[in-house]
Amino acid sequence: VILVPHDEEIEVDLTLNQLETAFGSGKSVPPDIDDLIKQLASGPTGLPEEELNRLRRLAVERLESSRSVGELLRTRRIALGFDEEEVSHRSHLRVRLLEDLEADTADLHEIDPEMFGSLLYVLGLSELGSLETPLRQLASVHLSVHGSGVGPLFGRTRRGVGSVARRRGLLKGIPGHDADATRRAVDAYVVGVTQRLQELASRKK
Amino acid sequence: LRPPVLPDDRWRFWLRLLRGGDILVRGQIVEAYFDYVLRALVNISSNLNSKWYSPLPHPRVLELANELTNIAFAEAFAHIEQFDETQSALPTWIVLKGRSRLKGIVLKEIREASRQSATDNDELTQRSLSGQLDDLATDPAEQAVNRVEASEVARRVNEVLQAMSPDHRRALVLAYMQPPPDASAIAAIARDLGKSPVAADSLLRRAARDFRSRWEELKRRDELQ
Repeated sequence: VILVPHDEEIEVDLTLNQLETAFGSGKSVPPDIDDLIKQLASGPTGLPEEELNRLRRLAVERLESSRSVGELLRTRRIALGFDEEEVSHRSHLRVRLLEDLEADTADLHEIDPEMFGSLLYVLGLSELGSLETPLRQLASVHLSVHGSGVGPLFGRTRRGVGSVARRRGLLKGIPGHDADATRRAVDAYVVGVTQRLQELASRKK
Repeated sequence: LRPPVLPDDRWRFWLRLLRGGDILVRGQIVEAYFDYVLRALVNISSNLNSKWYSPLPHPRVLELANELTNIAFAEAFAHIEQFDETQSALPTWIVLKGRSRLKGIVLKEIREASRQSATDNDELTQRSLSGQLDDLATDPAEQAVNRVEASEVARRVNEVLQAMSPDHRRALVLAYMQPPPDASAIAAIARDLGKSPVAADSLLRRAARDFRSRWEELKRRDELQ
């Protein structure tokens, strides 16, 4: 038996095909679409909350780029339309430290987690999000811990050599880098920043 | 399960940062709207799968919808200059970015699964084999021509839709969002417009007739000009 579609069904199909041609690429938007999408997003999906959380976390992680902490902070500040003095004033972070941070020459030993959290809050962030991985990478260099036995290190301050570079140079070739202790120091820094952000966000609420 | 997540207006502020070249805001947008976009794309993908008598198991539909969601965010960020906030909300546009990849990702797999399961539905097999639902051009020149034509068609379709009555317009857009129109789409239209399925079906047909007559009128007018 060959079923011949009714003229009206063909008409509906043709019309919807035209809508598909018009809007299928996602460049043009059908009218009154917000409500319809809201309806679709309100339907059940069968996804448990933990799974949804996991997928969301993965999606944020996938966004990470190879940009440094300094570059990310600088582009954020500029997009917000703030100058360095304004951000410095609001976050109580010295302008010199902010400049160094944005130029990736700052020493995290000079910027405690609370101060860093305040800076992020001033830049409109309420959580670390996609900044977490670059911050961890930076912190693992700056907060690197060396085992006991290294003793105090002395070195001359030289023009154009920052504290991070000087410390790295002095420690070069000296064994005893403690990976576990470094990880703990990085975790503590990240937790400190996160707690500060949460504290500031809850104050606002 | 979490309650339905509805988008708020934070995207309006974030849009400015996105356009200003900020990278960190992408994380904020994904964090805020991931659930919304994923839920919408899961439902769109599930509707499509149902239409084909569900050849894909639900967990696979969820995986594909998740893939669509990630692509949707990436494409939205890469082409943010195309977004027009007077036409839709940003989360809506991101969902539509994902929907635009439905054929290449979800439908492709549905068709493959349908073929492998030796479906007993001749009509669907015919449609899948004839490529009626698959208009993906592989030739770059053909793709370019298609893009230009699509933008012209979009202009005309929008003009026609705007001239139609709100009920007719809504019925067509609802049917379009639940591809292709079947009992579940009719039920969705009926629910949305507070009508019986029979009345919704009739409304959709009238809306299509109305659209076609206005379309022909517009074509004649454009030809005269």
